[in-house]
Amino acid sequence: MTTAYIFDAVRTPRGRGRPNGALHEVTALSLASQVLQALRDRNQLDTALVDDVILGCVMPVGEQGSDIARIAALVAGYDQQVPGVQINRFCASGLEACNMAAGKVASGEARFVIAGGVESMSRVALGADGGAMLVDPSFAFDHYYAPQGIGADLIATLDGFTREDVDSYAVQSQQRAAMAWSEGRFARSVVPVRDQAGLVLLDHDEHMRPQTTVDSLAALKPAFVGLGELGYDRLAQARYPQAGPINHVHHGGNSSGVVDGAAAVLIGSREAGEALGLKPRAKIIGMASIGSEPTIMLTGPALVTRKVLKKLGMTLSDIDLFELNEAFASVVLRYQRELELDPAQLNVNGGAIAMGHPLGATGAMILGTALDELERSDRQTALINLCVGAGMGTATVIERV
Amino acid sequence: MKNFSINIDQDGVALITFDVPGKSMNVISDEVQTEFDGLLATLREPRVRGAVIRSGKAGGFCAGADLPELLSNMTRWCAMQGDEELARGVAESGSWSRRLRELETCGKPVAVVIHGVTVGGGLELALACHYRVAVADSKLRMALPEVGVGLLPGGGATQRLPRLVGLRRAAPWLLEGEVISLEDALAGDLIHAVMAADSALEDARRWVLEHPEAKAPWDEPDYRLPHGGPHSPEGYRHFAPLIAARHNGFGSEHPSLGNILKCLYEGSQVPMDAGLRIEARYFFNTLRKPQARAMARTFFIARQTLARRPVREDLESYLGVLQEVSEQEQQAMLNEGYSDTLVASLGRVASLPTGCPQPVTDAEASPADLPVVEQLKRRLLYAQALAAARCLDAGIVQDPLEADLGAVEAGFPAWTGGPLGYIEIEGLANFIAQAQRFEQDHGARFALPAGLLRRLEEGQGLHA
Repeated sequence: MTTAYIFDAVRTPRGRGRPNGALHEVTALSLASQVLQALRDRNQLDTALVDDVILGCVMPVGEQGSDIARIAALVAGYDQQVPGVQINRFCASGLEACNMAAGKVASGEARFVIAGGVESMSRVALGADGGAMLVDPSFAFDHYYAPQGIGADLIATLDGFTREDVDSYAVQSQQRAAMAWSEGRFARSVVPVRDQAGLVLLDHDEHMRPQTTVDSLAALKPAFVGLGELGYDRLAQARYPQAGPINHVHHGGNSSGVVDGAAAVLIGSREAGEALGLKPRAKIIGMASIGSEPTIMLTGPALVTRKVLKKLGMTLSDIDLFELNEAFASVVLRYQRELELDPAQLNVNGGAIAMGHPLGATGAMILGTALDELERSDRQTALINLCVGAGMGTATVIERV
Repeated sequence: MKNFSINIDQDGVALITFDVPGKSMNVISDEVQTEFDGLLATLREPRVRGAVIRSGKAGGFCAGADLPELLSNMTRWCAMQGDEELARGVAESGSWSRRLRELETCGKPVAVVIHGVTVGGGLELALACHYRVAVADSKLRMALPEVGVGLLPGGGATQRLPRLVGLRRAAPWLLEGEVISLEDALAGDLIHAVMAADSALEDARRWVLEHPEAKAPWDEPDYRLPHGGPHSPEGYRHFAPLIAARHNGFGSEHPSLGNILKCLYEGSQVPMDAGLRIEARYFFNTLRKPQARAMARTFFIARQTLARRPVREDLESYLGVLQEVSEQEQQAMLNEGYSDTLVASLGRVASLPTGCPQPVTDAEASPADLPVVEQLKRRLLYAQALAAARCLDAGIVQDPLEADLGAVEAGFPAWTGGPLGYIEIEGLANFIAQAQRFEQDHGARFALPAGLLRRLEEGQGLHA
């Protein structure tokens, strides 16, 4: 099988996912086509060699509907032959796009594939795509569906994480992200978003609050008490009788931020790269997805980590850097505890609590973040993974070349 | 016709009186159903311009299905196998729904006068009529109690009620069996008018003559489900938590609760005839579940049979044994290191109420993943079911109906229909095999009572 290499990775800065966010004035299509253009321009890529564009998008309706990947490739000025496909593995869509791209390269189907994702959460609201998961009793009733905020609080309840534990983690995320920005650690990947006149609209992550302290977070009210009272707490306890009353510890300050953004990663074979004089930065050595218990929903990461390492014949100690999407603080805390990870190896440059989680794009963004950090700190291997809706986990292992 | 009388007046209005002979209340038996076809035939006659249906019983309009008959049908439907038999079963169990739809679409106006008890299939008959008048001060009681006996309203109520008032308002009537207030019934067009008995009949007759083209609202081309379906903004806001909230009460082990939700969800997205077909399939599916049979037997047959007995058994020592056994088992779980919280939760969902077992501080904590929790729940149910079987053997309780009803009334989980019902749900042979495994792992307290083994050998059920 052909080895899939990563040649480059770009992302937009993340704008607040609200009408007052800087990126609210540009379309999701514009965000997606701008990262495609950036990737082409800085690699002087002959787009006719791109055999597919795979973009994750979790709310693929409205302006994000009708296969935004193909439309974005055309709008970005890519060769007409370049096809596109939009995929959805919920929060891991951007990483799944990379895994599928690697698969296409490995099988020989593709020379280059661009993988990434886009989500304008300020323009296409969370939940806009509906779906059976929430309202079809064949799933929602028979399989005890609860929204993910309930799952996050259930993890905290079962593991005994206190409000202070999760808030402390959130503060750490903010501090690490602030330090990373101040040291320019994201500089290689972040490409500013330009407006309709071609002027820079946003060049930094807008959601960050570096001044956050555990005390300032203490003032925030837990966000999922109301959902719990609608019946989801009792449902969670029916599924997890060992839990006792649900301890609602999550709020906007220790959960991933709602933001707009897009990302793209150039993946291809060594031969394809050589033909264009491109130097590979890393290779994708392993990838996996897994299903986990859907009510708690967010416990896939440890499972998928073990799965992919087992497949690779590797152990946790073979991995230099771990990147786990900060969907909720408790998700990361459980991962860290269950795998007994050194906090200095995990999410070293902060994550979605500080910078936001543009659903379909995040997986590709944090792959780029991990790659940049491997190069900066001169380390070799990184494992990138996310928890996923309906109880899943998706992971990718990369190694510098 | 034995159960109906028809009187066609000079204007061509057929006055149909529903009056099952030899009973104080109308119920819908197989015979009533067959005769209903005769009514439909009369309605099709050219000289008939429409019909008014009423009851000849003082106590009310109709109490719904003939449950003893339905229970024996359930046993037959449960045994059906293969596509051909199953298709016949769906057709048979859906016959009331199909007849009501024929009535609704017969092309002639049909009005109904209801009073007193109007529940279950009786209410469903009324809902299939085009105009409904309630008799004032008649102790009107409209409800769909099916869910409480493990069944679902299979005569169209899961389709007609949401089409009248929307999913959200119909939900508690169908999912909790909540009594429908007169106020809500009037607001939602479940009832069009309330008046005194003699004027009610005349009003219904006049309505029939004035509405020769009567149709149900959902058969009009511009019909829209009130407040939208589950995949509408209102649906996401309300239908999703409405599902979640149902884990508070009976839970997902209940034989019909999930199926009623599915009738609402799936049926509300398609035209009426398709919705009725969907309901009929879920109805059949429910009727074939052993949990439905156990619940119907305990909550209907046992309740009715025992209410007629002059002397009831004293269940105090029987229930005491069950409680003691449950408490002992909960204590054993604590000693094995399962958490207080877990054991207390299991006690709530899988046991009669018991005293609090002693907390154990020095036991090493045992992790509990979902399969472990399921198995603990099962173990607690088995301990009590075995105790009930032993009591039956020893004559501490005499009648299985008393044993089951007494236990569920004391707080044993309703979906089992009682501890003996639970054995039947598990299947006698399967129960015995599992109990033997528990005996190996946890000792002689799971030993099988001789009576159970004998029943297995003799191929008998517990209630035989």
